[in-house]
Amino acid sequence: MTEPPVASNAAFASLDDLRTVLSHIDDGVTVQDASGSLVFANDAAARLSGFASADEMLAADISTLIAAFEMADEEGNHLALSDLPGRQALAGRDTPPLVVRSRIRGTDQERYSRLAARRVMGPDGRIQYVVNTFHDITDLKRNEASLAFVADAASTLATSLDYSETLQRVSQLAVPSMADWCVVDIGEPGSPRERVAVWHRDPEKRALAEELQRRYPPAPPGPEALELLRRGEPSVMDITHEMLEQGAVAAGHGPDYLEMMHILDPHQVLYMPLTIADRVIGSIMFLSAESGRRFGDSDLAYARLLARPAALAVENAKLYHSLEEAVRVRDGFLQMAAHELLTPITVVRGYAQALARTVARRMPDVGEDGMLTIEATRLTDSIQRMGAGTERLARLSHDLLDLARIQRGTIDLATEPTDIGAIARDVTEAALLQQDEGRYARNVLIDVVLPEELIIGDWDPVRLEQVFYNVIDNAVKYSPAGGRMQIEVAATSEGARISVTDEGLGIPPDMLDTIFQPFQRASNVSSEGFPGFGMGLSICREIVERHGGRISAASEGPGSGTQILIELPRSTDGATDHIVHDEASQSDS
Amino acid sequence: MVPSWAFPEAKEGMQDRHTVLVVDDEPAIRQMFEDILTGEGSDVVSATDGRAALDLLNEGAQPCVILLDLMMPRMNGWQFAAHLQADAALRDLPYAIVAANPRFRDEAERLGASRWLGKPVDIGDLLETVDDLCAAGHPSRGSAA
Repeated sequence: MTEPPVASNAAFASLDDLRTVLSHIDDGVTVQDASGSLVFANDAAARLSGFASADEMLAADISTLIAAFEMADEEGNHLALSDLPGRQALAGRDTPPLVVRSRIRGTDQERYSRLAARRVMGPDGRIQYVVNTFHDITDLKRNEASLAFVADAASTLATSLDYSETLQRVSQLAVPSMADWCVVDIGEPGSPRERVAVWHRDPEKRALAEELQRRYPPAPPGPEALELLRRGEPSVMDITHEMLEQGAVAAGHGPDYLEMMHILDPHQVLYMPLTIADRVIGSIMFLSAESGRRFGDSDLAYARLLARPAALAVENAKLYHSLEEAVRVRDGFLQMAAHELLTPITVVRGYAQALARTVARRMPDVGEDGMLTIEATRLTDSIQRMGAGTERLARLSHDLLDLARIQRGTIDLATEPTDIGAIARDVTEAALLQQDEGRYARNVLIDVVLPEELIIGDWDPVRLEQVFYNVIDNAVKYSPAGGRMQIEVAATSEGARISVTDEGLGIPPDMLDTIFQPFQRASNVSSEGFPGFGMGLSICREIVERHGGRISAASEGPGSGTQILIELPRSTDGATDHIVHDEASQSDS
Repeated sequence: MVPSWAFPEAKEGMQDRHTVLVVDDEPAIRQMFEDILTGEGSDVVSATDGRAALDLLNEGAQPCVILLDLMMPRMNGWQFAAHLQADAALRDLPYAIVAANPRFRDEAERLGASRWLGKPVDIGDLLETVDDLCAAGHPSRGSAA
């Protein structure tokens, strides 16, 4: 620091001029003599210290002055008088400016000041005066805290889809950095609003505020208030006792409402509506009480900053939960529908089979010319078609039930030493038989390449048969008339590799994975009008993965055929295995 | 109703008419089993749940096999099977579980079920089951009581 130039001092005619200048600056200035007694204070210093005027401050004795404050540093550690820069300066030490958090004793009114002290030396080289300056940085500190609050709150909102939990945390973050008391309501005007969060800086008053919420839930806003809310703009309102009394009368609240309100003693409220596209979905109320804090423009700005992510978090959570609910309803419906279908299918299939037996027993096997009689042939064919129709229905409803089981994680394997080649052969023969019976009307040539040796693994034969059936059925269904397909089963070091290759429709490259998801079918399959629900491959994937294996599809694209590749380890060790066995899991018996 | 021509009369010359107990809460399924099994020469008694089936057995019904559904109100198939196991007079009575979910197949075996019939039931399998368990002169309640 350089000494002030002498010439500029000469501009002031007197000490009074200097006093006038000092009384007009916002920073507090005091002067202590060498003994530490206060010999000068400007009005700002008096105001920052809780005195009405500089004269009153100068008249007060030092112990009154000190007793009026509780002082702490920025972190909240207690500060003694000797820690202050003025006292340090009197002791001959230069110290850097110190940020002091002071509270007028007996109140919650906190202020932050930056204190600095300079020594003025006399001609004898000893300390003549110490000049103290107080710069009020309360607003700066509040802004810092509010900004930190908004940042913390915004990231908190992104952490979870449980909005009542996150809004409770946001209200806790808001206190005391933004307010003494914070209340969050969710709900659209006109419908019952849910008070999702209440937080107060004082634990006793917090309990009281919660009690108030239980007894007096928020009332829906009137039409004028609603219009104000729709604008999505924050507003600040002073709260007076008269207003509270009028409000209590209007809402028909009892006398205990006012008693509780008088203890909570709100002075001001910053009301921030939460809106999504002009739709009011809730509100955040920041209340000022014992701190005596007044909400300013910056607080409005912070409230606006917070409102957007808060509203989005609530909306996202609601959308997510309604989506989840929709999926749950869908799965429940599928399971119920599949189960309900099974009874009539069982009945139709049962009677058709019984009918076939009766016909076989009653009708003469051969006519005079050695052929089946026309009536017998017709009847047998009809019954057979009925049977084939119910077979398909039965498979569909079993697929639906399996999908429901997959969703609930209750597909279990019954593994036993199983010859995979035998399954491939049996299912292929059944497919050829079905083709002969006219199921596909395609005349696809099916080559089966089986290994010389047996490939035995710890597998579920019924479920693997289902996988083969689905994959081979797809390959035949999507093959061109007269096309070729190949089923190859080979031993690998881990177990078995099965590939089913056709010359059919093929799969667009972007759908090679999605076809294994429930209800997803390749776009070309749907557009060419092939029937199906997109269930089979997702069930296959579940079964193969339960065996610890992998299933994938390869295709050069539409029109160039498809290869389905399945790798099965010999044992299911390490496969995801969750056996659920409770009453609920038995509900699809 | 099923036309009368659909089913033959009881097989002639069949000795020792046997009784099948059908336990299922679905009326249409009970009716179908009754029609088909009666047509094939069995006597059929049926119950809507496990509790009603136990009542029938306690009242003296002597089936040579029970066709048992699992999911039923009041007393389900598992509970009914447990009652059979716990009763010395009923323990040896063969029963076949009729269920859609293949995961109960192993469990049915563990619980002492003689057979497992997947839904929708193949009538050939059904009749074979009844023939095997009844014609084999399985120790029915008659010998135990």
